[in-house]
Amino acid sequence: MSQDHAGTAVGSANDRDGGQDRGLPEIAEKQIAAELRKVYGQILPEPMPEKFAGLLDQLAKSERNP
Amino acid sequence: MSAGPPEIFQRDIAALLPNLRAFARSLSRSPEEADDLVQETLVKAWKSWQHFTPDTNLKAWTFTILRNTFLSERRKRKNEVQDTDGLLAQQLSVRGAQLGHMDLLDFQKSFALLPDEQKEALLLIGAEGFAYEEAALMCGCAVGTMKSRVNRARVKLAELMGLDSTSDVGSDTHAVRPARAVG
Repeated sequence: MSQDHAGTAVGSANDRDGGQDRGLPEIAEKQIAAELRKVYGQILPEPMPEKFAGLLDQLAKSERNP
Repeated sequence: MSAGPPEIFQRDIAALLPNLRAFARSLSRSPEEADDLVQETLVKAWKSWQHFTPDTNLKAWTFTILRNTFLSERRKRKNEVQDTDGLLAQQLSVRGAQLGHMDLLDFQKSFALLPDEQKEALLLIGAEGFAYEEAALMCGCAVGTMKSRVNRARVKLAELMGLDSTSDVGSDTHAVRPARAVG
């Protein structure tokens, strides 16, 4: 669906103040942001179990035939 | 006449499935738990579609249902059985700290050791791209709290993964201290 998950680093630039409170090196911030997006990005395209489509169908049917 | 949600709502919910599932998978401790969570979220969203304000953010709305469901399940289970997962996480962390730099964790193992509220903060902001203000609304906390959760999550991850070179003084006794912060 949307690409928005890919667009934001872990509070990268806009959270600079918060990120630097404890003196986390910028390279560490970047690596964490990249790892998070990588791991999350691996889950996103995984095939959906059939049961979700089945559930949605069932919900739609139950509304039509209450 | 029918009480069912309009078709566009149904379509949009279906389109959000991969994101809902990825969020659930990242929060849960097993794929089975994650799938149950997604199913329950779908049913709840479906049944309460009238509470959704059209033209507002359906993704934020469904994610909120999912995280609320997750947290209430967690609370329920914590009351029923001893939190062996948390215990294990703590032991792992202590062990990691005691072994110092010989036993650094990878991202996924480190992430699994974070408290739930830090996990969700990092996922909402860093993985899903919600604004801090949105994420704070979703989690029912102040924007500053959300920022601080993300920050603490990053600091903890850096520590577990050995990326926090500025605080690296190579002292084993120093390294044990942060383990208590987990859980």
